[in-house]
Amino acid sequence: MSQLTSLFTRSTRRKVASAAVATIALTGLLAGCASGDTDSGSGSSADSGGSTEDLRFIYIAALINDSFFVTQRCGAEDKARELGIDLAFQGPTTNDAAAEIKAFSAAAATGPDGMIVAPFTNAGWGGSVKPLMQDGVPVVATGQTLEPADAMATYITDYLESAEPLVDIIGELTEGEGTVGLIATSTGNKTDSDRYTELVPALEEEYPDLTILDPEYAENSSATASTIASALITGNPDLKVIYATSGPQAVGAASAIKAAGAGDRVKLVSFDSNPEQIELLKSGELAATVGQSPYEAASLAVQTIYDYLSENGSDEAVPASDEITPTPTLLLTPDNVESDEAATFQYMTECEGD
Amino acid sequence: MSTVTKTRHDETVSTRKPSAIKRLLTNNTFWIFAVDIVLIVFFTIVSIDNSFFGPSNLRNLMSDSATALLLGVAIAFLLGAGEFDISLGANLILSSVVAGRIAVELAPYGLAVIIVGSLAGALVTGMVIGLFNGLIVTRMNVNSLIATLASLGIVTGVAFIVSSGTDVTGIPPVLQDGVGLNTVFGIPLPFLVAIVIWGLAWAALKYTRFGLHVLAMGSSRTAADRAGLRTKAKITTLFTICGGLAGVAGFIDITRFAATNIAGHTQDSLSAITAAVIGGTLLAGGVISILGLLGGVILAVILANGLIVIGVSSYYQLIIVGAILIIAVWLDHFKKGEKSLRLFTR
Repeated sequence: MSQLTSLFTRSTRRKVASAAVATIALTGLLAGCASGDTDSGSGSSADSGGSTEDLRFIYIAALINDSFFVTQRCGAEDKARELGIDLAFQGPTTNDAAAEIKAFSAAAATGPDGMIVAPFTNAGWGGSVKPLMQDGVPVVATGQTLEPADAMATYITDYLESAEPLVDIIGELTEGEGTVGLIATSTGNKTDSDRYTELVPALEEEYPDLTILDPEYAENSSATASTIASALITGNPDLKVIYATSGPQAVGAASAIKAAGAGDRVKLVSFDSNPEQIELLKSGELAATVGQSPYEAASLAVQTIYDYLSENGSDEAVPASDEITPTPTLLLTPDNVESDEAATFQYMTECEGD
Repeated sequence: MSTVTKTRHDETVSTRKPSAIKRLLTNNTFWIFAVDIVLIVFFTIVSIDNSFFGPSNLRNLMSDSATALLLGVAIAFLLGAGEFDISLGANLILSSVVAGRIAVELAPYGLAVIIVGSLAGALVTGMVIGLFNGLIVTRMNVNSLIATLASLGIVTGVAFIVSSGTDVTGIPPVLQDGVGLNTVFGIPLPFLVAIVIWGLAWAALKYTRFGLHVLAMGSSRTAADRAGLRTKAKITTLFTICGGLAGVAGFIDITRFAATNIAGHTQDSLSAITAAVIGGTLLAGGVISILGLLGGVILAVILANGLIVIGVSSYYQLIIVGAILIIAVWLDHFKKGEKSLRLFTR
């Protein structure tokens, strides 16, 4: 019994010692983090006003493995390399808006000279962006606006303008009659909904005899998109076009149309131009898709912050602007997909130096 | 076809053998299929030209259920043994990425070589992930829910590294035409593969010692240990086999879409657990219903397809799916009561 007690005591002592070591290690780690915050928080290299040496920018996006955002990264990195800026591209691999905002806040705490954000949805950024701008750290939005408009500049696709060629191609494919199905990504996602909220009223106005179904949501799952597309084909004998708002939705819908042998009756149109969509265009399974300019938007964002810091430094609060600078789009079709012009609207899967 | 290892003490003891209709009404899987049939009839009547039950849509339903059935079999066996695996969706993604990359490399060598190479790659990847999970659970004594939650992150991360963070493209279309969208006697090939594996799973559960041991471990791990079963080895084996099933599901995925979908499949494990539990497999272990699993998978597939076929708006779909799931599970419990027995056999 005494041996048991002794063993228990030794074991307990060992546990206490382990706990103490763990506590000290954790405290040290936290202290390190805190001191890191303090150091970097005061390390803005443009404080002197106009100095652009050793600038450090952080670019935050969500779903950073998606080819659209990979292309943004390529554009930002190339421009940063040209200007001699240290740029980090960070964010969650999912389209979790809350995780993206957290990533932005964490990055902001490291004291960058400028920040760029590609918000997956436009709400919820006020508490993160405004304080930075007031501290003299310029923030530029790409791909989506911020609500309220706290950024100094915004570079996004003009969805109204990009809807025009979509209206034309859908009108051409349907001859103004029949049903159009719509497969979107998810509810409450403005980046996604912008791709049909301008398009649907424009289609209804131009082609009043078209029936446009409510959006179905596939959550970026090709399998779900396939299920939806096959059900739309079955349930709507006069279905003529399926419009998919992004790549995985288009891939799923293409598979369903092919499986149903309905390629002659049902045409597929989509938004975005990731590599899978380009392959579908080349094989004729996709009639048209809208290519955006994520590379150019990101490049402009880096340049804009650089120019601002060159002129103003970071001593004073950065003025916010609700002005939106549209970036170009191109309707890619099987006819033009191989052209030089179309090449600049196709998304990349890796950047120089990857 | 459901296998139960424990006695239900709350059921009325009778010296007479219960009638066929009584046995049917108290069957674990009867009600789930009853709900399926009611929904099929409803969607068929309401759909334009009864297109819901047309041959084209039946093929859609079968194709849609292939992956869910494979993951469902895996999760049913794990639940039956008292374990969880919520990394099956991530396993599917990594397996599909490996299979996709192999398929791209083997593109010049013809369909047979592509199939063998990419299927082997997916299967081995899935089994390695399953083995990894099994070893963590059995050798490090980490609860399987936590272990597979951790491996979900690890496996997803590895999938992103292997794929350079983007979907694998350039998968030869011949794989899609020859396997994913191919049919045999009008039945989609992916569904045939899934239903054969489902049948083998049923046979393994009913006729093999391994199936019996799985249920025994799920009923009481301690008792199984004391009975001399090498439970750690068997649980590791089970995880490995189930990982292999997720690998096959990953292969089927790339054959259907000729591309990987690394942003998808986040809900696959949860959907598989739901289908298995609705079908009568117990979360607490010890009970597996393979036939019921088929009913649960069919229910999910019918709802996902049928509500769109009849034109229900997506917001209402969420409410209707939730309500029908509650009704399906409630009926399963309801039939167990004495009152319902009297009601239905009157």
